[in-house]
Amino acid sequence: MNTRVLSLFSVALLSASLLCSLVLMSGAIQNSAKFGALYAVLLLSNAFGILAFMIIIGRNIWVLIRQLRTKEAGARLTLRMVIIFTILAVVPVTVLYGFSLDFLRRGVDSWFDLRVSDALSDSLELGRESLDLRMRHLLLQTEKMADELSETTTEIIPLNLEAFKNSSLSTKPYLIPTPAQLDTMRSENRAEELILLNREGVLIASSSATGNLVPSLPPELIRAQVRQGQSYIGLDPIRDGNLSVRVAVKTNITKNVQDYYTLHALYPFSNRINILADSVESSYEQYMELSYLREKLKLSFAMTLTLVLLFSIVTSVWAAFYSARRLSAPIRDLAEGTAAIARGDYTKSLPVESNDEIGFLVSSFNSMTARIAKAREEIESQREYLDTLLSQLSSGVIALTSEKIITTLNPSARNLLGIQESNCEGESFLTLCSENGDLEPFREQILYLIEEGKEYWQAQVAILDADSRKELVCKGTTIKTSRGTVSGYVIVLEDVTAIVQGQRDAAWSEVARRLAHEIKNPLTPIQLATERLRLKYLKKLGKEDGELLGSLTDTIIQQVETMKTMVNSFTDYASSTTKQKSLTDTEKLLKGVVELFRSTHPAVNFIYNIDSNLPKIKVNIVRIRQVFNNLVKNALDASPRDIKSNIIISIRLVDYLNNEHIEIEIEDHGSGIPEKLLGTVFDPYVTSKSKGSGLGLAIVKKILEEHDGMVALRNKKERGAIVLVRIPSSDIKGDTPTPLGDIRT
Amino acid sequence: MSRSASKVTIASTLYFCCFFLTGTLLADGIKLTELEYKVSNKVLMAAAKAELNFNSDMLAAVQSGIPLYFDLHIKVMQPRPYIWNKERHRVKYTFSFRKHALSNQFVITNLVTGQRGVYRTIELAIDNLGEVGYLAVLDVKELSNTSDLFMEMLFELDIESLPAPMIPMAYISRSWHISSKWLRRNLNL
Repeated sequence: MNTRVLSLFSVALLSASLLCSLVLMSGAIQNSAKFGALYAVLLLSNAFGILAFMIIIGRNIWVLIRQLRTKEAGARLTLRMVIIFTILAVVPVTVLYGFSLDFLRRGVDSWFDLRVSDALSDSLELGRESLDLRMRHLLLQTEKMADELSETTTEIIPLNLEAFKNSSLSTKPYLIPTPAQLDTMRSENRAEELILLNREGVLIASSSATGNLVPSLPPELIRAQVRQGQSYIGLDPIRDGNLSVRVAVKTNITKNVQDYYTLHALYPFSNRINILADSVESSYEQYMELSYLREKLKLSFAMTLTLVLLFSIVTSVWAAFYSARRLSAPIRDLAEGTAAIARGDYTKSLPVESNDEIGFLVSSFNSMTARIAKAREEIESQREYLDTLLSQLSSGVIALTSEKIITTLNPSARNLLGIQESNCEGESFLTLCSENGDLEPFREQILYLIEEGKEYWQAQVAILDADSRKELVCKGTTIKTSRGTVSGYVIVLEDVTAIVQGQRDAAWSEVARRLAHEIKNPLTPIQLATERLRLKYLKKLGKEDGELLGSLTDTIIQQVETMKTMVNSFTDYASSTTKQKSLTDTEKLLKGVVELFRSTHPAVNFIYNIDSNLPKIKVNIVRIRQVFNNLVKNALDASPRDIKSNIIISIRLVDYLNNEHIEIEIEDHGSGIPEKLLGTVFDPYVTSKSKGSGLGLAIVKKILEEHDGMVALRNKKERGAIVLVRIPSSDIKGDTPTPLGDIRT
Repeated sequence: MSRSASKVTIASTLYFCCFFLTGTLLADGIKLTELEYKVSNKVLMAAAKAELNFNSDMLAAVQSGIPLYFDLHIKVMQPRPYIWNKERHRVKYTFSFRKHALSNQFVITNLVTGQRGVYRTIELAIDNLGEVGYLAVLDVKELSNTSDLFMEMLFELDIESLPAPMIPMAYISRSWHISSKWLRRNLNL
């Protein structure tokens, strides 16, 4: 049995006990013989019962006050309902109490009518007068009997044993009526009892109609009255409540003036008179008693009524508390459930305890909560899906609010913009760009495009940092609400650096190919013609002219050779080497190239740092050798000629973009690359050397890209530069994931 | 039950106890002046004299026909060292005191013995109520040990016998708390 049912049962039991007690108390007032003995107990038990109810109500009030202070859900509603229920219950009961009290007083007063009172007093007086008349007659009758006894009584000598024993003692004669004489006298006068007492109150003779051996002796007071010569007559309620007339008179039977006897007689009344007298007596007594108890009766009735009122009020107030709590419980649960939903807790399920409208409401709330929870889960799922999608997307996506606050910034966007912070959501886009100095032009460009107010816009933006230049295509969309107001922006960033670079490289290749084709063809006739001219006319001319011709033709031939070399370089740059690939040992290939230069650069010390068990690479050996040749030559050119210096060559296996690559690093201790050339050092005709063609590194880059590799160049912190080359190993795990755009150069 | 509710209950109980104790202690309407005893035919009998003072409320009640009931408590006790005395025997006699309206007399009845007295005036009746003749207490043979015994007597008005409407007021009014103190007399049986 749970606590609520137990408490309800206890209160119901207390109410029932109290109600029974009140009923019994009401009965006790009306019929004191039946419940009179229990009246005090009932009164106390009722008082304690009501006190117990008051304590219960007090506790309820205290709990409610505490709930109101802590602003517990449903407390105010409970308070209102309790007040309303209490007023609804107490006001009618109180009005009824007032009227009942008034009617009660009037009702009790109406019992006591002056005419009834007078009639009862008169009947009592009439009874008394009637009895007095009878009593006076009986007194005369008794006095007459006393006279008769004086005249008729004969002298009797009593038996005296002492006188027999002692002759000196004499026996005096007594005047005593005979029993037969006394019986006859009692019978003739219809007396119940006749007693003859001497002066000392000693019984001399007696006669009784009932045969009582012990006669009813008169009290001393009566004998004293007779002793003083006054006859006594009185109405005595002696036996079984029946009335008798007691008469005592003095008689001079002894003939002696100094001595006397007392004749005591009891006369019964007839049954009829007794009944009537008893009726008058009891009616009068009852009326007098009620008259005396009038105010006390009113008080008792009022007290009982007040207890009933208190009982009604306390039970009503308790019932008000109980009902209010019962009614407000589901509403309190609903409030708590709503608060839980507001907090984001969708797991709250309320108990449905009834099948009425409130139960339907609770059930609907539960369904609604479940639906919201399901929808939320779906949204979360979609959000996770979107996050995953955005994180895997190679394009950068930025979502902004209308106040330019970042709501989404996917990893690709962070990479493209070079933002190190992993959680940028909630930050201002403008502030974020300002904090990264390289993004200032990007910020201005985007801000300009946003403020133009176009629904869709697109622009290419260049981001320059210390090492590279990025070309980004920005596509923006303005998000509007149904009312047309701007709610945010979505910007998609595409890295087109590789595409632009590819286009540029293709253009250069075409230029180189055309130059090679257009220039190379006339060079050989020029050279042959010059050599023929020199051969034919050198010997024919004089010394001075011959020297001049020789010098001029040498210059032409030398310049033609130079141009041929340059045209060959162009040809190399423009030519494709995707064919003729074979497995090659990188270490062997690189060391072979280094050995070609070792003799010409004795001051340079080559230091190798090569991993063992390197896989082979599948490349065009001639072209890769050319790459190594160019890079080693550049490192030697950068190294100081007259001072001993080191060139460190490292070859290792690395994991790059989920594929194994052979990484080659050539580190020199020269002057490094000028800062201004770092971004364009791989472009054709960009060189820091006075005699360089500017095609070396461009050819290197082109060859490596044709081999799905990459090349990068950076200055060391101290002195010198490091060139880094990555070529995919022959043990390719998956697809070739080396898009040109992802190679940092 | 909360702590505050318990305090209220204790305070209420103490109030009622103090009230009833006060009413009992202030009762002085009856004074037992004499307590006599005798042994007649192996029966211990006791007689007493008491001075009764009926206050106006009691007189008015009797004159209005309300019967009053007086209880005479007689105890035979045996003293015990250190602890309370042992009650060997207890007897109660009840006397009714009422007015007979028709004869305009006052009747005192011993409800135990049935003995009755009729008196013409209330004063006479009150005086005679205080003259308690010898009443049987117990058969001496019932007492195994008759040494060191003493008798105690108390005469009081029985409030519970009043008509129900009068009881609440009788409980809270001092004028109805009429009782003597216990009168003690050593027994030499």
